[in-house]
Amino acid sequence: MKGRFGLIGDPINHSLSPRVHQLLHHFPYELFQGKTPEDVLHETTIEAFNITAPYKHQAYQLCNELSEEARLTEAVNLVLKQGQRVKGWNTDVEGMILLLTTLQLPPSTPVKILGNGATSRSMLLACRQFGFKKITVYARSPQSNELSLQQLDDQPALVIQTIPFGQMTAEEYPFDLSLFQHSIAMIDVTYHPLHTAFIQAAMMYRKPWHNGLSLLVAQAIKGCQHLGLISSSVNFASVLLALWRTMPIWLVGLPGSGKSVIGKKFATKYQRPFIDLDQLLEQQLGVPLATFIQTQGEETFRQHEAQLFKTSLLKPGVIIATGGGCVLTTSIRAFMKQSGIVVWLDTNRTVINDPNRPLTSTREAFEQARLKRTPLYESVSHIHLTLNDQDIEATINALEDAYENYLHVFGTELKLAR
Amino acid sequence: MTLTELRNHIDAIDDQLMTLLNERFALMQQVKLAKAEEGIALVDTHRETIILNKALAFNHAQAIQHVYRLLMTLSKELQQ
Repeated sequence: MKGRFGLIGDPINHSLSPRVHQLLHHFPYELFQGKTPEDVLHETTIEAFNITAPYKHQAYQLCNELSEEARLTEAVNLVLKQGQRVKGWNTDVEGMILLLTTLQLPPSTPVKILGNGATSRSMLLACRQFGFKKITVYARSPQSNELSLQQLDDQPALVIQTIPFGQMTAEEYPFDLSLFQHSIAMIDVTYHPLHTAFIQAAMMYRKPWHNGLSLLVAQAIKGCQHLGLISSSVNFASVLLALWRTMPIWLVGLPGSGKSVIGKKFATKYQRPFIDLDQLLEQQLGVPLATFIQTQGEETFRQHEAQLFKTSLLKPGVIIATGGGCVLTTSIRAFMKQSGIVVWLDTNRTVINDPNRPLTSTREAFEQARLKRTPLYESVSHIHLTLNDQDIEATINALEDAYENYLHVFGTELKLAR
Repeated sequence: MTLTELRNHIDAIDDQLMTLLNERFALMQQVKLAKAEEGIALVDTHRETIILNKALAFNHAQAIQHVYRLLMTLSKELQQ
């Protein structure tokens, strides 16, 4: 390829596609902001482009050559221009088949697809092409041959979730998530947020799961192969693992557990950005946190804290040290768990008489905080790191091990990813 | 923490829990009347779903759900 290559869609500013392509090849990958399929079709410098919502059907209509998957789904997410030829593919279908292959499930496995929109149709075709025999589609407004969400049962199945619930918490879901406790595997097509309530349910019930990151990598590999940008020998798992390493890490734990110190060292070692939320909050408020809490009260402090979590910019791979009491706010817990990997630094150390930590200054206050917060740290965290009184180097090593162990499933054995 | 200290803590939680449970059950008579007034069915599966899903935010979700299923059954009995 000689011309430009990139992505169109609306919105695309949160897209991870550029990051994936950066991991796959050295060819520049652009975000064509505010462009429609017609715009880029007539832009002669552009040779190929990916298409995301809401333009996949529009792109399909512009092509004069279509892959079988694109023709059957009437959706195109990759276009290559060659003179008068405009060739379109639907690599969502091809990528899903690649992902299904890694799961190694027998064709007799029952499949439940949630949702009946455009993405659902691609997933359905992938499941059919893969050879699954028993596929049921559940939707809010079921068409013929489909069932309503109220008809979901708890029979074991591979469950593929395509309804755009986005950042909705579990309690906002229109169906009982415990219906999936006997699932064979669970796939959510989105990566926004990273851990949807659906994925959190998969983790809770210890089912193998994949989120949209797996699908994103798989479809990008298929696309790049069509464009001749990569060879067929590219390793799906290692690219996925590399992408996971750019996801945010939240550090939580009691005061004095070392969130700031450990976070900073870990970030330096891996050359990742680091944010200390208490420090950032102090800068914003313009007074020491202790002073603020003493004058304005804990509740006002927690409100400011919650605001900062929502507005804090998540740079690729950012590592964030949080304030010890942030887990007391339900919405913050939900936000951290959804948006990144949460690590609980669990220590039996007691830090008291610190003027900078007014909420836990006495032994009794500290022990009370420990009792109240421990179950919340446990609830919010993906990684539980127990720290004995070891030195900082040993702690960093322990964190590295725990982190690598957590990501390990994405890097090697995709078959039973958790 | 010693066993005595742990038990004291559990006792304190139980005091709160029982007070709250009693408060919750006490509301059922009013819920029954309100439902009759608004012509709403006794069983609201959507509301039950919300409550059960809410438990997923905690690491002991399955235990909490177990308790809530029983709680909802008892609440419905009180509304009959």
